[in-house]
Amino acid sequence: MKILLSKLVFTSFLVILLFGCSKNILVENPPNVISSESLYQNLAGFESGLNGLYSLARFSRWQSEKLENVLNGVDNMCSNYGRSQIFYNWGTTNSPTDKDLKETFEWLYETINAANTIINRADGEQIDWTGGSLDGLENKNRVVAEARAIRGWAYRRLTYSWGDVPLTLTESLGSSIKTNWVRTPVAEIRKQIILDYSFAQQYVPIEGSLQGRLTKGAVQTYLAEMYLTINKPDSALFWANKVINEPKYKLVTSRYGVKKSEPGVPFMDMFIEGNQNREQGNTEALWVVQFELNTIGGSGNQMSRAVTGNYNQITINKIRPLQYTYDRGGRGKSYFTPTKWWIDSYESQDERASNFALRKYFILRNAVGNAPYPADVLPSTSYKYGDTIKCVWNNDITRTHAQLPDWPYSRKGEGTDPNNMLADFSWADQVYVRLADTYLLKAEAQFKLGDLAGAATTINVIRVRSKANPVTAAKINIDFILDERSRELFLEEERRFTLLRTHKWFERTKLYNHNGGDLISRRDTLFPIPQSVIDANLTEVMPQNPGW
Amino acid sequence: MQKKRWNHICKSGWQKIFIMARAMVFLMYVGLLQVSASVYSQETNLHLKVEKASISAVLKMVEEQSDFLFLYRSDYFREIPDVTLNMQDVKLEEVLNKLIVPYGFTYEVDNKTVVIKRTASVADKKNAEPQKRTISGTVMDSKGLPIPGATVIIKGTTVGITVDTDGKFQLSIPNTAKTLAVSFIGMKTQEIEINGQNNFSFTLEDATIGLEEVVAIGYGSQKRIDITGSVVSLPKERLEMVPNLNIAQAIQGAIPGVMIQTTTAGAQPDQSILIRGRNSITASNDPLLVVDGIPYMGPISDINPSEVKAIEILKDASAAAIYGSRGANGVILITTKEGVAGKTTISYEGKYSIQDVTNVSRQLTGPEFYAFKMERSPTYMTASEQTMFDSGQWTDWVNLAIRKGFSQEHNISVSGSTNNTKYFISGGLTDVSGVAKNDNFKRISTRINVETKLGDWFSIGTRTQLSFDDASGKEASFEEALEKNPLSSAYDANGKLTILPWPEQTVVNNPLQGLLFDDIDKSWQILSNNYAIINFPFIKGLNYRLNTGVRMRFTDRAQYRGRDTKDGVESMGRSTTSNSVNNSTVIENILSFTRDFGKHNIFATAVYSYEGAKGNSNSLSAQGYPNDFLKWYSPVQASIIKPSTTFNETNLISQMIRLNYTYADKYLVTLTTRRDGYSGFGATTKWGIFPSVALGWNLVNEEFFPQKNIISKLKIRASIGVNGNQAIGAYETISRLTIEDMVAGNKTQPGYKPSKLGIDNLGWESSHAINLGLDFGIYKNRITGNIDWYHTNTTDLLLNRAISAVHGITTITQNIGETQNKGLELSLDTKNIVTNKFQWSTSGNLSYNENKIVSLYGMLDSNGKEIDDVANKWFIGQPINVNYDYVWDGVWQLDEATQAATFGSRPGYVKLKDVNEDGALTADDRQIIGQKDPKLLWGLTNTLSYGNFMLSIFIHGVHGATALNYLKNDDVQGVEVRYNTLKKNWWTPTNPTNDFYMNKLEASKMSGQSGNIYESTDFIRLKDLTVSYNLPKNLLEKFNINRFRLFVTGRNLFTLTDWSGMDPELTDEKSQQAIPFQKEYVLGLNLGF
Repeated sequence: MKILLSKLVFTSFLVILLFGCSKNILVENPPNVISSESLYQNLAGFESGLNGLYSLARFSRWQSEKLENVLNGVDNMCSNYGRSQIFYNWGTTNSPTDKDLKETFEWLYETINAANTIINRADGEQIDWTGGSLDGLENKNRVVAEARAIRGWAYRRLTYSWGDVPLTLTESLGSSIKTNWVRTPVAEIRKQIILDYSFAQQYVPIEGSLQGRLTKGAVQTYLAEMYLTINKPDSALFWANKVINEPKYKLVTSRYGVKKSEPGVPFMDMFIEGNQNREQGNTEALWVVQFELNTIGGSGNQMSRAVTGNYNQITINKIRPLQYTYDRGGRGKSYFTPTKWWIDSYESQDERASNFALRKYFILRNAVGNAPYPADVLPSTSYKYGDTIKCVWNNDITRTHAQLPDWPYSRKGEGTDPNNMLADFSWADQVYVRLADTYLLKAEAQFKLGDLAGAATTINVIRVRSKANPVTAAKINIDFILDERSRELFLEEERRFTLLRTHKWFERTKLYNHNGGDLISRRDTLFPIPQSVIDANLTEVMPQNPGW
Repeated sequence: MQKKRWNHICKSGWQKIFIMARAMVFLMYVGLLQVSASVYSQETNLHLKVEKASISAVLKMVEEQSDFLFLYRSDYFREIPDVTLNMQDVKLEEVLNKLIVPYGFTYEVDNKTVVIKRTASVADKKNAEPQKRTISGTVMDSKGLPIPGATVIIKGTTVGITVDTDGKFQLSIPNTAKTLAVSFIGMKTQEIEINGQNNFSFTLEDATIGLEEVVAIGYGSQKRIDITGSVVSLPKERLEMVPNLNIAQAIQGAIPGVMIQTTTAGAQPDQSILIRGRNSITASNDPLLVVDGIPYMGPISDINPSEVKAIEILKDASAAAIYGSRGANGVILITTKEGVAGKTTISYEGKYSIQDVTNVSRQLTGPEFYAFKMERSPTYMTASEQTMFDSGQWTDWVNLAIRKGFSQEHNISVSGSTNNTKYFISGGLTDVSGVAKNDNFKRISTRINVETKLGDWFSIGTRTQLSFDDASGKEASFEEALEKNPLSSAYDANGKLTILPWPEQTVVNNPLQGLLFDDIDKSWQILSNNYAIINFPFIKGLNYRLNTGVRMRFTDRAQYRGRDTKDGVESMGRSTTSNSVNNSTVIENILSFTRDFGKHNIFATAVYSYEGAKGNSNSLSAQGYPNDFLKWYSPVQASIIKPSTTFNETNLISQMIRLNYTYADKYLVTLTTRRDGYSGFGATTKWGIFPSVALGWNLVNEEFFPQKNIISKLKIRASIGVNGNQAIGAYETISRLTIEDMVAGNKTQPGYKPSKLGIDNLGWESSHAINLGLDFGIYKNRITGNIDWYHTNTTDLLLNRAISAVHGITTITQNIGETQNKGLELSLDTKNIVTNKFQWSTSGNLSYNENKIVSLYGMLDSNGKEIDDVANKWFIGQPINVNYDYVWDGVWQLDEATQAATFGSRPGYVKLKDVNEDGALTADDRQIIGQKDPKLLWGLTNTLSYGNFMLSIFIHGVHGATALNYLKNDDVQGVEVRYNTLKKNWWTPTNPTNDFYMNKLEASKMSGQSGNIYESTDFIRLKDLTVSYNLPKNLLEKFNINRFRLFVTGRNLFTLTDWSGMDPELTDEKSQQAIPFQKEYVLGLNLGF
């Protein structure tokens, strides 16, 4: 038995010798995974973190739901073909379980976490900040500044949309999952926003660190806006003036860029593909969101399909005469569209309402005129090429009068792949913040400070550029300023926020929007907190906004 | 002398083992096996020095020194005097020539076998011996049918004969012979005292399953009677008698406690397997698959059912403990066929089947859709819809997407053995055209199972499968067909598929566009399990087995969407191509020792193993092609090209020790411990230990047991143990970023964003399980059955929980919480009628499982009650998978207008229950509406045979589950009415039904909440009905074949259910809108030569 045992032991030993495995194989060293620790080691790592952060911010001008819940359901926009039910039904469709609202909420906090990660990691000790023309400390400050500006910008949208929301300023870690988030009062969050913007404006360069990134002017404009929101017009005026007085930022007053020699107006040159960026001559631009056709990272935005008219569906004698063309804006679907009030809010000579800016008619063109796209189809023998097909807007869009292919549309949103008229996206860069906005914020501050003459002067700088008649001080009131913003910044400013800031959303939307605006209630000034967020807050009740 | 021989073997023997083992590793990796064909006798030198030994003793000595085996009659050398020899370094021939030839013997050497015969003169002399006579008899089975091939021998000798085809035999026996023994594979050997009789009639009984049956238990096998854990074998009929495309279909309903759910229908149906309920909340609940002893990481559908010999399922902690870290969800052991001793047999199995959908959702017809849309929002009726309606035409999209399905399957195999080599070689072809258009699947597979004995103590073998799958072709989209507007056109004037079936709605594509895609989806797989077995010659019962398994799967996919489809037009030609390689490697060292010490039997097993899996893929998507000529072969011409790669690797190291002890087949003990280390876990939590104990008592073997004539089998089993679950992938503990590129101008700017939160102390999920079981047999096992009760608690769940969006990331995997499963399983087999011509047997099983969440995060509310996780729909004390929603309460009726108005609703709108009666519909009114996993499962098979005909009826029942009927809504894209919907009984003022709300956009919601309809998915289904016919023996003989079976099977022919959706087996949102379930009619043929 003893011999047997020893042989057993010997044999077992031998067997294990044959396949002795190194324990190191249990240690994971994935070659294809990048972590915060490994990325945020040097300037290049932080730059790529900023690129990711800017790409997240870009979603605001990229995806339909994020466009729609700031642009639609206001005084100057209503649903036409419709997308989200909320904006033409309101009532029960505006609910905590709405998918678009949930995605928007999640996206904003995803952006905040990406920013927090950069901001927190920048405090690391062993980071190599050298690179470029700046010294290490300057690089670090600039990186943190851009991340804090985007964080402020994300909280700005959260507070406008939902009111009190949880405030978090640290990178989320697996070891610190919270189930007791508390909704921080709006006032406190706005203090943080101002802190972030104030820090950022010191270090963000005047021209932006890269095409498409924030400029100092953009950050200061946001700062002015936030001061207006918290009702400190004097501070708002101070920051607006900083931007306006910066010589590198200038209003576009004459024709420039790729279509300079073709008929047009200076105002619309800024929105033509190839012209939008400061680098391309748009001296007025402060923040231009980047897209690029056929380029990795270029993506494609849904602005064009959301707002460009569905002109191809115009039907005369059962014939659909108009072809999709690049200059008509590609394949628009007109999810939402201007209200009649907005179309009629311009003086007739105002270049912002010329057919270059606001599509009110189409010319039937033959193959040469439409090249490289096919010729338009003549609807009957009484039509010939060169004839005009007019848009129709004598009756406002309403519940029973919608899905109108011949409704006028703003041409700021146009964009498509010139080689593919069925493309669903636009790759046109989006002018997101520009100097005219700063002027109008300044005017608002002046108005609030009682300086009506100053406000009129400021507004007239904008009006004169587009050949609108100057306005007198006597005419200045908050509604006039909002009308002017609407005329100047249609599709650019986040109209819902502008109206909420001035406490005019409910009143003006009811007044001017007849396809949905008639159904809003006071409750709808804030969106409901997504139910998933309330449900995940296991150990602390997260109160819903009133009315739900 | 004795001592010297030991030394001799120790020296060269050990070296041999060592070298061979090393060599094996190499050989097995390349999957090559070479059988040595050298002439052994010419290479072997013998050393013999004996004094006065019998010839038998000398031959035995030769056997000990070499691999020679001598065959001779035991009485040959009885009268030959002892010899004295001294021969060194001599060949076998020299020895034999000197030793036996002078005494009138000859010999023949066949490789290592030496057959010794008497020369004629001696034989004559022996024949002259008197005292011999001839006896005769018949050998029949219990049905009275002859058993050709059975052997009759005189017990204790090699004298015997094979029974002829009529079951008759004649045998010459010496008068001294006392007992005759008759044996046949699969039957109980029968012995009869001769007692001077001349005519014998044997009736052999089938070897009763459960007594001497040997079953695989993982890392070895055991007699059924000695098993302590809950190990269930799949009844052979389910494998052999029913046509199955995949093994899961064979298991469904046949084994208590095993739930198989069909998750996808179509040409390649998918099944999910759940053994004894759901333990894990978010980690995988899939059982571990072990094919021929090696853990298999591929899908179960890759194994060709016709190559499978046996399937065993390990259900309790003790049985599964040997697979420790992965045993928590049970283990399925699959053993493929092997060659059996005897002559070569060739068999063929062929099946041809026709498939038809069981039930298709009744969508609105063109006129119905028109009426629906006019009622809801006439403004949105487009010109093309109106034109089509006016013309009286409409498109039945569902009908265009389906077709009659066909499938054929052919398998051919050759098996048998030569001297030291057993082989089984098979090839199979499967070709399926599913019920959805263009849903095709082809598989070609071959298997080679060979085992060869290189010596008395050393064998090597392989079990290798090569297969090729082809699922090319994109099928018609059933989901899109269901929702497509019937007033849009599938074909244009030229008979081509329309690019935009609804001109005004340019987002709507043609659900049949997939038919125009160029699509390949091919994969090749090598599954090679190679092994070496060493039966140590110096310690009886000690055995070493080296298993090496390699699996490599290569997948090649490509798709091109050209300009004849909407996708292709929009992107100007779009391609996606991908190649992926997945491989896994398993190396197992298994040392086992089994020996009887009197009434004590010990069976000990030790395992040390390594298991690694690696996968990587390269893919490319491109769009913007200049033309459609070269398709995915010309991405370089495309305007945007996006390559991507993936990679992952996991490793597992395990050590296991198991001791089985039995005393006199009465008392049984199994002790098991396994230790596992897994790479996917955190640095300090990589290793886990999983122990278990099991006891068994064969009561019937006790001397004091009364009633032995009635009760033929009675065993009590009990086990307790811990199993693990590691079912998470690689890199889960690492927080990480994902690519989020940006652009500045026209330049790409590489970017990253946080995408995952990792936790570095992630570790094993552990299941603590108790099992009590009883096996019984009554009336000579005419009634057999077993009862098992179990109770499993799973702790440290690998929970993939939803977290607040405020974190910026919405899910995380944590070890947290506890679940419980308890249940009862019964199975019963009865032979109801057994006569010569007619038999009827019944086999039934039933299992009940109760599942609940015991704990989640351990956070208590102010009342000290643990907090539920509403966001994830996990509730303490409730099953893991529940429906949680507002409660459907019909429709607000005309006389309820005031009440409805308090909820902002009105008559005709959906009515949801204000459960807490606070006058408002809020989140607090959501309720648990049934569980998603069934509680009760059963299967019942009745087999009737009459002569050569057999009828088998298999019924499967599933009860206790509730699911959301996704088809019962009016989600037709708002006021536009873009989609079609199920025909329903809508409410109108004149039809005040509670079935369904009115046709109005707002009517589907109350206080902003959608009304959803949940229904029971219970069903009882006639799964298989098989009629078969075996050609009678006399005809078989005539055609010189030994098996001919013709059968017809109908599958899923009839279903009893209250579920009003498509099929109660396909209930999740995706599958319910995908390809419908199918019924099948199969014609099959089995042939054996």
